[in-house]
Amino acid sequence: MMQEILLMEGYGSYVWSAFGFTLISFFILFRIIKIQYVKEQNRFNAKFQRLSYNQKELAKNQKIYREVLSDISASKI
Amino acid sequence: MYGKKVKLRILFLSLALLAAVLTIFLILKSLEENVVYFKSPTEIKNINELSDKKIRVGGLVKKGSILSSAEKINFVITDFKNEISVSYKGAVPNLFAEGKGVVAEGFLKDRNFLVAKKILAKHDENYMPPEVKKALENN
Amino acid sequence: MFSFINNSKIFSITSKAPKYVFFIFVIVLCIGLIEALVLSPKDYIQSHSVRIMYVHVPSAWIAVGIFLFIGILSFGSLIFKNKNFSIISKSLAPSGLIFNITALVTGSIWGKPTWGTWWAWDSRITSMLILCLFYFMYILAWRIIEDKTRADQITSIIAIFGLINIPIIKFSVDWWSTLHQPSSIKLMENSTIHPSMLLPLTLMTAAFALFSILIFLMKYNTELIKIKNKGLDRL
Repeated sequence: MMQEILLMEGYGSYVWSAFGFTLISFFILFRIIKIQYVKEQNRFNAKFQRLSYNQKELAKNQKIYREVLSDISASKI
Repeated sequence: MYGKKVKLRILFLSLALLAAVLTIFLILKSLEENVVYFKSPTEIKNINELSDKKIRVGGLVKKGSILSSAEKINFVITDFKNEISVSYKGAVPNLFAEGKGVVAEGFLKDRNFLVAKKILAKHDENYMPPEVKKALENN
Repeated sequence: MFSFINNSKIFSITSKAPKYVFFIFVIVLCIGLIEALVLSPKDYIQSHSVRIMYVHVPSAWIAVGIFLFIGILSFGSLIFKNKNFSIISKSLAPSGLIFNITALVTGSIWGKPTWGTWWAWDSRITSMLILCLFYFMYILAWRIIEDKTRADQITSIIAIFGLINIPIIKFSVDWWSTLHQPSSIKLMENSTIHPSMLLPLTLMTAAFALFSILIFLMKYNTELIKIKNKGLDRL
């Protein structure tokens, strides 16, 4: 059974390499996009910490900044 | 509804796109000879002069025409109007079979004979499990 | 006209969506892979090599679909000078490129056991390669051009010119004799793929579409944070 699935009557190497290539390139793209995302978040965070108290309050009053900040604090996938 | 600038941009873009489409169309039209991947046996019959350039001929492998010896294989490509004989040395692809599509790449000896350097199998767009095919054939 | 596309409203949705999309993607991909590699039958002529279709065809569809989308959005971005359109197209491009590359590579792997060659300069394959070059140009233009508005314009123009290639890809197999087989799934007629093979194809298409949505959302969020990052300087 297992043998059958792996070999696929001689087509196994083609089929598995095609599926393998697809999944590996998915994984690489996901990693790259994820790294870019985290990098941008960290940059935002660092910049935000350097702001004065008044500027921070000003930023927190704007909805979009609140969203970005809450997103950064709750780390996801 | 939209401002004048927006209308002008729409006009400009559609004209630019139209010009580009027409250009591409003309280029493809004039290159038609090279855009097609292979010629049919009928087209080979109708060419004016034979060149020594590499050429690809495609069609179906005529039923019962495959003659294979130890190192050579001979068969006939047909498009049901005209035929062309092909001789080839080497291994053929797995999907090469009687009544199936084939593309032979090589040199024309004359209008009826091609010495192939490469054989490619062409398959159609029908996909089904073997049992279904068998059931279809029995009907 | 497009003021309803408001960044802050969008971000509250797009920042939370990726985890759910990721979750559904993994489930659909697992079912799709089992269906494609184990449960689906072999083909009567191509035997098991037909399984490559389940990654090749969805990749090609989505690569073409995403470029079509980018092209149309680029029209909007050039005509209405809408920033959001260009951010959306920019975020769509990476997954489109990856799908285009997988379509070309898996197609090549499929070609060897069936046609007997890794590569053929037939019009379907060549036009797909041209699409890949357009993706590269598009993504590079975003990187190279420093000036924001110029980058918007030039990338949009690249996408619109690339749009001409789309019908050529679609109809190349009908207009010219090609080594590539004609489409099996047609809009008006019945498909020539047996239902038992259509199931894994549909599942894999759904999984790949979800993956491109996932990548799009993450990239889009990155771009929005980048804009907000610049906004912080102005406080």
